[in-house]
Amino acid sequence: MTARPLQGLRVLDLSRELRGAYCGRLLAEYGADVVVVEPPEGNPWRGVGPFVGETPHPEKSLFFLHYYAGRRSVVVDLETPQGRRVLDALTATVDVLLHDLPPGRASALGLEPDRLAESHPRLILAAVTAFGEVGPERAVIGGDLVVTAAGGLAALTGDPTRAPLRPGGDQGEHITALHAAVVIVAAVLARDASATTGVHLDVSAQESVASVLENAMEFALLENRTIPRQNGRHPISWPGRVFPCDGGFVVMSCGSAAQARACFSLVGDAVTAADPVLEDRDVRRAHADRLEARLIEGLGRFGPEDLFHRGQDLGIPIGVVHTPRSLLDDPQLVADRFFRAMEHPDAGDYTDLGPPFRIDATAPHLTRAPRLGEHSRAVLSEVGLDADGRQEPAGVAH
Amino acid sequence: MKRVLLLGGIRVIDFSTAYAGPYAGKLLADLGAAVIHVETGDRLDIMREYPPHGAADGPDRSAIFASLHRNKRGLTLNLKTAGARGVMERLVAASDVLLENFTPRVLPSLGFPWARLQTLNPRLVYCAMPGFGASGPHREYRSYGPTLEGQSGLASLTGYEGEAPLRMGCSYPDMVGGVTGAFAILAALRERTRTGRGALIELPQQQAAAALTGIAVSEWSLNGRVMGRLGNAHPWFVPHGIYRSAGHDRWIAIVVRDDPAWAQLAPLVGLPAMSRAERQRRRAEIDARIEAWTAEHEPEALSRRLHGLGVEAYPVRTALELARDPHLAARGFIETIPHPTLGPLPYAGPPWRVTRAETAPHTAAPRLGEHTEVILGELGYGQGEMDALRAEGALR
Repeated sequence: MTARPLQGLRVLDLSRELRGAYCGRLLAEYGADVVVVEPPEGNPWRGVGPFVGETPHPEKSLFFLHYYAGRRSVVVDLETPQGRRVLDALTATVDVLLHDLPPGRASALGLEPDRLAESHPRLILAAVTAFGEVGPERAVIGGDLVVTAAGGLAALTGDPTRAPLRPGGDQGEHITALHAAVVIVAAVLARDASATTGVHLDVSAQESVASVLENAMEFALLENRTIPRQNGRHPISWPGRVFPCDGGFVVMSCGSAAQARACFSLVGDAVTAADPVLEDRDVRRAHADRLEARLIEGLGRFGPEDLFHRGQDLGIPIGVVHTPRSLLDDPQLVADRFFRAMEHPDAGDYTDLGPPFRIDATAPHLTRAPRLGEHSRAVLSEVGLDADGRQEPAGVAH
Repeated sequence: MKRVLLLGGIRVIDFSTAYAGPYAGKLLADLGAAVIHVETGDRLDIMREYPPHGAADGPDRSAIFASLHRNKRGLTLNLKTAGARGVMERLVAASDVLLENFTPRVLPSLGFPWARLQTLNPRLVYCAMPGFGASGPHREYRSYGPTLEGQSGLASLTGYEGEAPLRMGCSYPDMVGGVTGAFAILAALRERTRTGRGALIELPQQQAAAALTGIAVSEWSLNGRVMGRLGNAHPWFVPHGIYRSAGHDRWIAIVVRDDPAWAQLAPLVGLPAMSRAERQRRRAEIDARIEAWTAEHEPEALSRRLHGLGVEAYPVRTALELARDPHLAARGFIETIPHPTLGPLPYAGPPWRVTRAETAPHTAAPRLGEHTEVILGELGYGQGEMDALRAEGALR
């Protein structure tokens, strides 16, 4: 048994950016039938490294394997009129059309909201773009670095004397994809409940990033100020940062004096644990450099797992900083069988990230990423197009 | 952007605290669900105290609480009393969704294990968002956004090249848990339209965050390489950086994904045509040449010039710049609505515009216990019963 809450939902995926790609993966992961439309040369992420091994190969891009898992792939050349007619035929059979093309590019392909609303009144059109589809910056394109810079997250991350930092792992794109998935499923529920029309969703990556700055937007809006980059320290809690220890790193996030004292007890530093400067949050922060030097000295004698368990027992909010390798051995993730085994005919067998949640104690199943055009025949025949090579309309390949 | 009513008629009990759970409830409320935030005045939600503060004192002074709980109504209950548990029973029976982010022992200890919730309301979607999981060795451990950043593997990917991991500038796993929770709830509600039954969602926030580590685990699994910190560099695209510009603490992000874009940028920085492989080999030199050039220009004009050439670029924006940004203003991303103690308060979000949907004005976050009597009335309690509950201490 697998969790498939979105079973029966049909999604046409025209994504070319990770934000659309990850949104499609999420919908597919939870049971939607997601068909990715690829140009004859393949989705651009098929050409992006790293690859499995050293040699570029369209079926071995780690980005494509991860972000396009769960899909079926149909090749349609949208540069031709015939290809756009095929797109129209596919559009007629789906609930959701998901794309991340800037407005000019989208209308060149016939993806104008008004026209689609007229020809496909039940369709939910989800445009998940860098800056949204209206406003003076609507034509600006960009991937993760641009949207984390434009959305205020880079300016908050890193050392105030050095360049702002992009958080690792394409988080600007991920958080946009998640917000898009929320509003897409809400629109599906609304459409199905009312038996009326679909809606047009304009999701902005810049705004998605700006929505997750914790309280930085509120400081800007209420007090007209920007929180400066803290070089990895929490702006309020102390200690609240990543610390080196023996053979790795731990991260702490302490709100109270008791927790701050416990951090020093944890490393056997009874003298500092009793230091009265720990009593007040602002005083603690004022002495942060000296106190952190003491703490780092103590932490260096212990390993991350030891500090994690003993720290938690002392009531300290503490975590291990996992590497991608040690994450696989995290006892909690192992106990929950978080990771999933994937099999791919070209890439080989590998371990991929598991689902973010389970429903009724069952995990969703995720199929591997498709080979280029793997499902062209099947998908086209489903929409009544001749899948026979001889009689196929021009502009369609598989 | 007004509140869009895509979720009209969906009733949600937001029995959550701090940030992650409330953010899930906020997204549902912003989409038109009728969300009731259940809290207790005995132990204030920590966000009621969290800065920035728009008033000197009191439980309604936090602007971030105001943002997380706008469009919700508020009810105070002390679930240690029998009377409050009775109220919760009626609320569960009358709702579609129950959302909480406690450790897994809390709801059962208050008398509401999943089996009982199902009996009270077989159509209930129950979303539990603990830090670590319903079972497993760390289930009772405490977690906050920053500790989950480590525990999920995310922190190990953030930092300057070759240096130690660095906490992001926000408690990212909190917001991740929230938005993932909203998605999970809506997915389960859609399944309910097919099955007629509710569902249990288990969403350990560690797993929601770990699910966002991208290709790092497959890179280890397939190639045996541990991805570390790359600063602003990318494993494939070169250049890919944030470069100092003219002005105080001004920066510009520039990305080249393909050879045609490089052909546009290269002459501006005095470099020749290069293949991707060559750009990857000469990354440090390319970054230095670009920064020598960008340092002479202010980022807005430079960014526009690069857009004209088809090169991806944008100035690094601070939150304050976003608060005054004409593009975001034109989109209606920043909106001011009245708040009973904080006055007219500007809000950011949500990050979408929905056309052809019904809308309604936004409402302010509830003052502590603001809607307790109204909600009890809706649940069928008469004035006498409410007085008795109050005397029992159930409504604190």
